Amino acid sequence: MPYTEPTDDFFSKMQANVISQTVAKQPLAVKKEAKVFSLNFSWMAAAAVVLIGGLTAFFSLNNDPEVSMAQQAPIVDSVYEVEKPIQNTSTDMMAKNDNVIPQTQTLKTEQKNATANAATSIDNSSKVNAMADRQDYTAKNTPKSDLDVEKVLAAFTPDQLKDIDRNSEQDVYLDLYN
Amino acid sequence: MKLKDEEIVNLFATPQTVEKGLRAMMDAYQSRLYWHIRRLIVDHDGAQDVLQDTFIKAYQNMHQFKNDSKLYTWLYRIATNEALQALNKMNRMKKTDEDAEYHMQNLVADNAGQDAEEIQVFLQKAIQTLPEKQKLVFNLRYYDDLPYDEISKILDMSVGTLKTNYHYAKEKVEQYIKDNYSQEF
Repeated sequence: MPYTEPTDDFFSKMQANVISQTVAKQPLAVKKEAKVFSLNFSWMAAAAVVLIGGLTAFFSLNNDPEVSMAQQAPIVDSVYEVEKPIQNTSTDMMAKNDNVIPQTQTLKTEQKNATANAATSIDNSSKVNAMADRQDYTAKNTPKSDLDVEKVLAAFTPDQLKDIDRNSEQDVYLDLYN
Repeated sequence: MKLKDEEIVNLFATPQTVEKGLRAMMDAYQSRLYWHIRRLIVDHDGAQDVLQDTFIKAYQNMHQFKNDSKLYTWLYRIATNEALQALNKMNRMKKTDEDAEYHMQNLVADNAGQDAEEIQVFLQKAIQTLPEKQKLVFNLRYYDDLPYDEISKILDMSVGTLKTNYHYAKEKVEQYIKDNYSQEF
């Protein structure tokens, strides 16, 4: 090179200048390494179980009224479906009742004549009467049309509908109608 | 003992060894970088300032250095940018209306040693006539003897473009010497 060489102490002076303007003056932005976590399989499994449990609890314990109403919508249908057969059976039974009552009347007339069969006929007549009374009661309480049923159901609160549903499941007489 | 690039970079990781790392980096590359800057700036004092700024910048940005490139490639890149900035600053501050190329040629003559070979001085004057990119490629290839792929990383140019630039630079230098050397001597 044609240029004059720098002096012997040039680089040492330059280094001193650099050090005084860097290390001595400003701290270095040290590269921070991200922490590495060693994932244990058992910890991962436990975390997964907790997560699944938490999500299940979250969704099952959701007491939002709108959501609960939406969840109860099928109950209304089931009540309606339960009521329907009752309506049918009641009308059927009402029709049958017309036949039963004369039979009872004949039984009653026969009762006067036949004392041996009196006890059984009384039992039969009392059972039939009880059924007839119940039929009358259900017939009175059963709405005449689907619209009426819906109106009645709409008047119930969700909790009441729940109770009705529960009661209808536990109603032993429903088995008799089937 | 001369440390490897990776060992120098690792010394910057902890505050206790930062100074040792900085000194090791300067010991390893100060001479090469000085002459690279000097060929561009020509003036010794200017080259000293740029060299200092290069190491200060390297120190400040060491956390951004990625080990996928070589340390000297990264340092050359910083030094080149600093030198070009200094040259632009010099051109802006120049009070006279003389041509920048002419100014640099005068600077070469002023900075030449007493025992400098005339042909070497003439070669430096010829280099100062080159456009900026061709000058950089010519210096890195001819004086620093760097491979094209490393020059490509330093100057952020494709190898094909570098070869073309070097070819044109060489032709221009040869032509300048042919045209002017016989006239002066």
